[in-house]
Amino acid sequence: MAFLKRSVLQIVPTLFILTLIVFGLVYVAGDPVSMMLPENATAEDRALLEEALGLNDPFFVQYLNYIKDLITGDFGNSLQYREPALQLVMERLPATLTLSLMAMGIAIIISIPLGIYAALKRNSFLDFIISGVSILGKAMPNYWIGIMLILFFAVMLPIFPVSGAETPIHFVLPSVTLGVALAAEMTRLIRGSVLEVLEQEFVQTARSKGQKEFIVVLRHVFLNSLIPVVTIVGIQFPQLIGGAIVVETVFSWPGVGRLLLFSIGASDMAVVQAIVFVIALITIVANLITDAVYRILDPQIKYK
Amino acid sequence: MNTNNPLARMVAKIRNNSSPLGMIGLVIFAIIVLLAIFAPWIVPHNPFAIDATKRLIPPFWVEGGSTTYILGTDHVGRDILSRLIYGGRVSLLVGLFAVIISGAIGLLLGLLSGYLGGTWVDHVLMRIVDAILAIPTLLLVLVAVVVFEPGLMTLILVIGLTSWPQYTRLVRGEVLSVKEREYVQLAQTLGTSHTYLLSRHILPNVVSSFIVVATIGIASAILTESSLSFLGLGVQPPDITWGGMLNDGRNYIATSWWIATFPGLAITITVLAITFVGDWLRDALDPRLKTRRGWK
Amino acid sequence: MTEPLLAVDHLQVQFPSRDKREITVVDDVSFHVNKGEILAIVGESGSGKSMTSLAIMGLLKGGGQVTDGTIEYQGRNLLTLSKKERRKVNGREMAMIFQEPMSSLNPMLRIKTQIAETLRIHHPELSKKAIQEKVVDLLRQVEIADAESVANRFPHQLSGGMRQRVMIAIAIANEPQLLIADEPTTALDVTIQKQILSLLKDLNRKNGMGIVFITHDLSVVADIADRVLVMRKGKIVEEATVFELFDNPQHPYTIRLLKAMPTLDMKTDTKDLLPEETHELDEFEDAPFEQLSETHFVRRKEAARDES
Repeated sequence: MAFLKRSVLQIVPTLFILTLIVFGLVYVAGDPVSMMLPENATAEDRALLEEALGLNDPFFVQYLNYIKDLITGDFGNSLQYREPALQLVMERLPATLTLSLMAMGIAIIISIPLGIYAALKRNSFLDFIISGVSILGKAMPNYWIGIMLILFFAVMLPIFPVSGAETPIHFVLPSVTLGVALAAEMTRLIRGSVLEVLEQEFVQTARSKGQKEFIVVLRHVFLNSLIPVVTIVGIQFPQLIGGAIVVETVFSWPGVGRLLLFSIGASDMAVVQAIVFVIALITIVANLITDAVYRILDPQIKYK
Repeated sequence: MNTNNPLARMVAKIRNNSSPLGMIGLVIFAIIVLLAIFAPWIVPHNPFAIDATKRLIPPFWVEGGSTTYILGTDHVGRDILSRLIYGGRVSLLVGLFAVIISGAIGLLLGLLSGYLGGTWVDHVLMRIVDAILAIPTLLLVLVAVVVFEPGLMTLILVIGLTSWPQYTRLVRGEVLSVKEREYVQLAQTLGTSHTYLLSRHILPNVVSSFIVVATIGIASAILTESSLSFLGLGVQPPDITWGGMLNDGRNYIATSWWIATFPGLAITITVLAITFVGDWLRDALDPRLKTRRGWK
Repeated sequence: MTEPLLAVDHLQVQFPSRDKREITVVDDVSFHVNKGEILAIVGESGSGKSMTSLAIMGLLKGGGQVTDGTIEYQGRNLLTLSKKERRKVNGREMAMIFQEPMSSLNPMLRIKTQIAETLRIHHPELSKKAIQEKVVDLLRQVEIADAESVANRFPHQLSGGMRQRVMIAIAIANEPQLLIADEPTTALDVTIQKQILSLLKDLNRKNGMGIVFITHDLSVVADIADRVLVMRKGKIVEEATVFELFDNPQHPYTIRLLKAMPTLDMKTDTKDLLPEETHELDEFEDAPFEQLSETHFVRRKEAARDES
């Protein structure tokens, strides 16, 4: 119950501020009218349309109307597609989410063994390599990684397709591209976290029981090192989705990112707004899930 | 050495904590900065000159390349090396000024929030910080870029105005923890003035972590800038950006790999150099962070 | 003479340092523990007492290594055992409890899981139910009243004293012959300290379990130990029964430690606590042992010997 209350307390102000930012931007950007009317429209036509759209109302009335529409899920229609903006976004959302989740999965699969290994063999040659590669992984722009992967694995060695999202094999390059930065960050984190836990006395306790080293590492060290990692993964999720926008461009991925860029190019503000809100909501949900996982993992929070 | 001067103390700490990797990073970064500053006098060719007869020349070590164009030419015959040198200008300008803006805002709001910790001002500020952090930076920047004309100034302002929350959070946390320390509480009970407390006790403690995070901030601003330029929403042609060059090269990746490869390398090297310097500063100035991450 | 439970002979432990020179933290340490005996190792922090105990358990970390000597448990040299054989000794033949009851239990696991772990390792044949019963029984043995409910809790829900009891329950789970207690009461407040000490003494008496009790606090030693080793800078400087040591301390360092003990009349002269004469103590470092009685040994120089 307390968890629910805290969540609501977190979500409502966040969404409120978000509406202010987005609405403010659109208000400043203004002039949807000239975009909606043909070029030969008269001043009278303009005035009529402005009146119809409520653009002559005071700021806060417009804002209230805007909120009212948002609550009913009405982001307006896309200028480009003449379809409800939200529907357009929801159609493309699964592709983006799949891409992001696969990237996250790849990052987790790569970073856990590497991070643990690097920590256990601290200052060894392989640790040096792993740490070096993870610094590099964070420094490379993801779209460049994507282009390089295309160069190596689609052009030089034609193993994977360059674009599209039809079959599972299409997922490989985009999700690897998107996952690299997160994998690098997580490897670094897990290494640090495991090193820290290794110093704790309960690890010694486990060894003094005569426990096998493998189980000591998994059950006592790794389990405890997960808590800070989970927190960071939650924080990183928005950046992952942000990265997806760019990666989708590189691989012509039919997701929200490409829709966003297309809509930005066409000044299709209804769609842009819908995307911002949907992504913000996803981020908030991701944070809540992180919070929940964190609580499940850490008995010190669960049983206060 | 005057050990009472926090700045002098900081410099001494950085000197004492030498790091080979940090030095390498610093040297590389210095070279990149110098190249960018003196670009017009250094470049071997006019980076803007289009020459249809010199299209898609590969780098000199590849068959068909020549030492005239060391890194080759792009799809309209412009020298890639010269364009790389020019491209650093935009990245560095954006990185530096965006961090100055976001750092200044973040520092001020963080001090305010931490100093007034627990009051409604603090709560409101923190909610705003949460809200902004809930949106991917790139998304926020993209939307803002639509509203304002894309260009260098817009980019600096937009990145600057959207990435301050992390500084606010950091500074606020530092201020709160410094406030808890006994000597500060003692100073407070003795009736020390607010400005004295801030300048004497709180700021010096905040500054070192702030510098560390700001250094890394330059790197992420450069990455954001290059992403936007890559998407065609950053600094517009004919101005040269690494992201823009990468975008040009994308379509030629199957035939002329060098166009997209070198600007990406340039970004990576720049970001790496800054990261090395940042890690060095962190180890030297903020040992707490060091042990927490467990890095050498 | 019967074979001792544990015999440590010329033990040397070294750590690598930055400039590739080895740092010796335990140097030429020899002692033994008899069955059912409580041996205290006393010394300030850095004296090598904890390193000695970790070496016995085979738990040295950070590159620390036994570079010389032997550690024999019931006649078997522990240092030549394979890792697998070594694991069979830990937790079954000998067990250890640590200084920080706050951090020596895994915060993510329930108490019962952590006690059951050591039972499962050494008695995989036990049924789930048998283990459960044994866990509760062990908690009762360490005088935890509410055993069933405590078993289901997490470490952070228990007080420091309770956690140390749980640690003891883990340690005695497989009825080891030897318990190594590394400053087990240091982090606890005085009343709890007393309870834990008497619990350890009871277990020693009832089960005949030998205990190596490591501490920097001589007043605790007087309470619990049969014999005492005084360590300084990695070496043993004096060895005696508890009576001999308190009645007739010989090494200046021992005398210093005794004087530093708070007493009721509070006449402790703070001058004695000052480290100004450490160079004088250092001169004793390489002196040979002199035997004063069957059980009393001290490192002394010739000159000092003449005076006494």
